[in-house]
Amino acid sequence: MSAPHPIPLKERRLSNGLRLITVVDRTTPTATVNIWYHVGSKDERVGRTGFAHLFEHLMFQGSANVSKAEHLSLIESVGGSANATTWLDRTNYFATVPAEWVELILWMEADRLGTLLEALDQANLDNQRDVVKNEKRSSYDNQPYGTAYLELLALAYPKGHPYHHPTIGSMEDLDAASLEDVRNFFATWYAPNNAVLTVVGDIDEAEIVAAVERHFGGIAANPALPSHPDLTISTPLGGEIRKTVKDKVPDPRIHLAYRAPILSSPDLPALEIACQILAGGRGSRLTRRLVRQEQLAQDVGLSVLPFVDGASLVVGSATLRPGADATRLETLFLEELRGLGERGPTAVEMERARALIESEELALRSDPETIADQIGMYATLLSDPERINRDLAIYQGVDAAAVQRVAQQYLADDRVILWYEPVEAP
Amino acid sequence: MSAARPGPGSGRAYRFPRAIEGETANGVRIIVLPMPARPLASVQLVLPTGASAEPRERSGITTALARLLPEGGEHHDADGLVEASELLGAKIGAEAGWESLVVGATLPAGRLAGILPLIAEIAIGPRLPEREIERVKALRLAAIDQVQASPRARASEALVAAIYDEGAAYSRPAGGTRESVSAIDRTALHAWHQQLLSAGRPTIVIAGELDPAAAIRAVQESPLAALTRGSGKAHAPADTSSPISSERGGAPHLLLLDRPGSVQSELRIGRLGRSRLDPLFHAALVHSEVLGGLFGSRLNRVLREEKGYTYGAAAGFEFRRGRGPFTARTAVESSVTAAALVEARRQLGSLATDPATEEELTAARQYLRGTFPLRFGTASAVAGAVTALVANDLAVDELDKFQSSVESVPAAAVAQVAEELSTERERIVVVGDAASIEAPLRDAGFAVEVRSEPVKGES
Repeated sequence: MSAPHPIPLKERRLSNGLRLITVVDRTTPTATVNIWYHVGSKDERVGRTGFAHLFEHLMFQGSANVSKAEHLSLIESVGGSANATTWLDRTNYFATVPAEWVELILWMEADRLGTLLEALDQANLDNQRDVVKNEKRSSYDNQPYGTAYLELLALAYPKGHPYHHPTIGSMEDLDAASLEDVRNFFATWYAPNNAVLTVVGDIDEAEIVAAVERHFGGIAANPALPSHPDLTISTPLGGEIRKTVKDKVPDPRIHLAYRAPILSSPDLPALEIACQILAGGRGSRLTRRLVRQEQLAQDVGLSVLPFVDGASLVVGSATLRPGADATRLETLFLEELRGLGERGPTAVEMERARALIESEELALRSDPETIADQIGMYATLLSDPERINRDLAIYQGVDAAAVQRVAQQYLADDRVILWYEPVEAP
Repeated sequence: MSAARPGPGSGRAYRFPRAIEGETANGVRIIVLPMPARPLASVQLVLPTGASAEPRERSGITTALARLLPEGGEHHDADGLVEASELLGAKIGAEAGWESLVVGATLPAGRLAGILPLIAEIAIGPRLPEREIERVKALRLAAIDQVQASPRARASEALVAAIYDEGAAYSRPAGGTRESVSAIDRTALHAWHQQLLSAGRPTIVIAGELDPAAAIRAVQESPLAALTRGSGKAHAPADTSSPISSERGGAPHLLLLDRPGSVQSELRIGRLGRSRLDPLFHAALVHSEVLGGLFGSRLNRVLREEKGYTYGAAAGFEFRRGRGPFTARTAVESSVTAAALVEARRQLGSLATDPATEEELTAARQYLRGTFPLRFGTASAVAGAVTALVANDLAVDELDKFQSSVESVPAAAVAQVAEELSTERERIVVVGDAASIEAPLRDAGFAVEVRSEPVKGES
């Protein structure tokens, strides 16, 4: 099987510091516009958690030339779709439209980056604060096991560390957010020199460059862009941290977390392959042992949450089968992780993992939205957009010894063990 | 920065991949959809009978069978099968739908010939090991408990149970009930599998960057050629039970499922919807976008962007071969439950009295037209869409006309959809903290029936 063609990306920088990356991809007559701002919940102040995400909502509430809530309606009415997400390290905004409408999207992104504060008012802030509080209730507070990831972050990173608090924030802090906070946050972080704009699709590159110059060129850089907070933390947790949460859940579930190497580390791809061998699909070690052979678990999972600095996380979970022994589930789960470190993967496991990675690489190339987002990620967090074209070789270069070594090093006894248990005895 | 909004530049038209057909010596249909620059291909074998054809006491058996097919066949056990498929870079699996059982895989197009024997092996002669049958049943029973614990899933299941008559397949979850799943055994699974193989005409759908003639030949020369064209009836009669009601006036009935301490209420409002085969299908899509599909739909605009009651509100038809449900859904903070429900019903009823404006219709038509190609970036999405056409007995070129069909939906057709929907019986389900929301709901004029929380293991 020959390697897939490299993605032909072109990068340039406007005089105000905005990085622009274009990829011509004519497989469908659409265009994707994706913009990453290097600001996330790690950049929030004490007492203002949840703010980066609340702010993301306000970016859809209008600017000088776009009225309240018009942003998404306008995109839908030309036949496109759009959304945005906020995470610990970054915030991204993305839209895909029929290719003939790409300049409208560039104009709208520029309008909100250049003039958001002209449209901002207390009513919009209050409305979106209510929406976000309902998002927190819907996605976390009112879901069985819904608070697990909030708990894991708080346990895996010490109080005061920028990754300790979750992106969704706390109700108290959301209530405390003021218009003044919004203005300061915008003025500090939403600047062209803190953004990467990626355009992928059935586009004319010269036209895109001209349109971006036309709409973004006049937006001033922030010469005083602050540095991000210090994320330094030791990779081993320094012991085992245990917690049990009583919740409205039908069956007990175990969650695990390990501190892991950061996004730029050469150990990370090996650890991702370790997770694939342990929990990726029906033939993985944990599924075979815990779900099929021992019949202790309803499901298992193990994956990497990559972060830019300090330490990433490996998170895992397994839901206990009704009537099964929770202690035994925990013991065997940990035994499988230890087993990969002690004996390493088999040759066939490595070959299967490589073949699946190759398929995933082909899948990525079928999706302009994912191409744009990965480029935005690598450009923003690693200053290396071309990394997308080296990924396959990097993963294919991981050998069995590397998988064994990272499993031994990172999936060891320093960990968070978090159990969810039913409130009443079943 | 310019205040002038850029208009459209030049763009190209989108074409749904053109289907090229063939068949095996036994008359099994082969449909290939060539897609340049899509090296990750998708293969799907469609057996055109699904959960809607299950007798009540066998509810969930198609889903159980789908879970059990990958547990091995004539040449491979479960581990051997997953190993053989992963070495091809393939994920192989089976999925049950209301109208079909689909066995399929995604993999690099060049390895197509390698996966066909594995698909044939589990589709034609699955092992159905006793031990795995018991495991799959136990996991389904545990999943039923998980559904009851999830306010979202519990509300949705209770709503469809309220819309349809008890005897209708659509009144039940496709995965089956506690009672029906407990009764499944190897004999029943084997018999159901034989029935699926012998009912109707199997179809093999392949999409991706491949030569259609070569792909057709690969199927013809594979063990899939052993499949035969069935003589039995493929489908149960379309399920359109739940009589149209002439109920007017009186307090609207509301089923309140208690979830003590819930910080939100899950709201569901539903009626009997329309079939995928309905001539007003495209009009119904436009109708749903205006009402509860678009971000700027009436429901979301008011409940989220004006009132801040919710993170989001949506409504729409679920299209099946028979008449699937029409549902509206949102989750709101407990203290605004009654107000949000009154407002949601006002918006849902608004299209009958306050027809869609030209601006709303244009936005909905353009959205459906423009986002159509976005749905088909991958070979598996294209194969899946054609699989759905096949399962519903629709022509394979039906999607070629999708964009022009939605573009030309007239206002009168949307109004007709709204009018006909309004004549169906309305059902309302709320999952929330009865102690705090029952009285406000009664005060708002609802006839509230409270049901307490199910005990685990009984529901």
